[in-house]
Amino acid sequence: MSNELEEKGTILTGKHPYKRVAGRIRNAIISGEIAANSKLDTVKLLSEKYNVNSNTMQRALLILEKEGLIYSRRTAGKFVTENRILISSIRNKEARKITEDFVNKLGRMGIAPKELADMLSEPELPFPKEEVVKKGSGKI
Amino acid sequence: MILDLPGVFEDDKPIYIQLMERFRYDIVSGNLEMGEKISSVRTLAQKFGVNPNTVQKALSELEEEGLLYTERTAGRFVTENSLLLESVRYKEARRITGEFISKMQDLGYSEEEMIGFLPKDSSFT
Repeated sequence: MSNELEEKGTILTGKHPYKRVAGRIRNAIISGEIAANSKLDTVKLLSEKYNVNSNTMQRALLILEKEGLIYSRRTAGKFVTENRILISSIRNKEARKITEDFVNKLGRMGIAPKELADMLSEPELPFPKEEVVKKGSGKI
Repeated sequence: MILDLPGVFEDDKPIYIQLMERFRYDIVSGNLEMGEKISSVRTLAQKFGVNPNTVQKALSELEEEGLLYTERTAGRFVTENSLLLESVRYKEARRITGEFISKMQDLGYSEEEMIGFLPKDSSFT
């Protein structure tokens, strides 16, 4: 199916646990929850905190290290990068990805940009009452 | 028809709920058309790599919602009630919007900033 590739990021897109954990830590870094230049908890502590085994955590940290978000100091442990430009550029990239997924998803449901804006500003817009339409599920 | 997608599921939600969300999305986005016949439980279970009971449960729930209906011998079909579809479409859109907002908030973005990320050509006021 041609749509299959677009399905990335939708409801059912499963990820490997290490990717999911990497994503959570990445979010914590780019949102500033874990500060730039700060020391990361040990792998053991992080594994407990994120409820994964330590191999999974190692793998997740490796991804973030490759991205440049964290680095190791031989004996002192792992640290968050002090490169704030890198952090904010990754944050921006993530946000654009999330927005693109969102717009595509609604687009495929035929929701126009105008309606989309209404939804953002007024998430609880009145729509047809369910009681009214619940019944007739039958075929004509 | 329901898109082919191997059984990949998040583990923080029951699988039948995720299947429901998936099928619901297929219906409201038109991947599954009004009145279209749904594949058998067995076929869907194989396609998604889950237990037939799980598929059965998801489909029954969607039947409760009125999105699907069963004809005794012929099988299961997508509703042709366009009013219901419209209402579910908006509900689903709101849920997706909610997901978007919370993901962006996780990254520390305000609502104004979120709107800044949306396509520029749309007429926001």
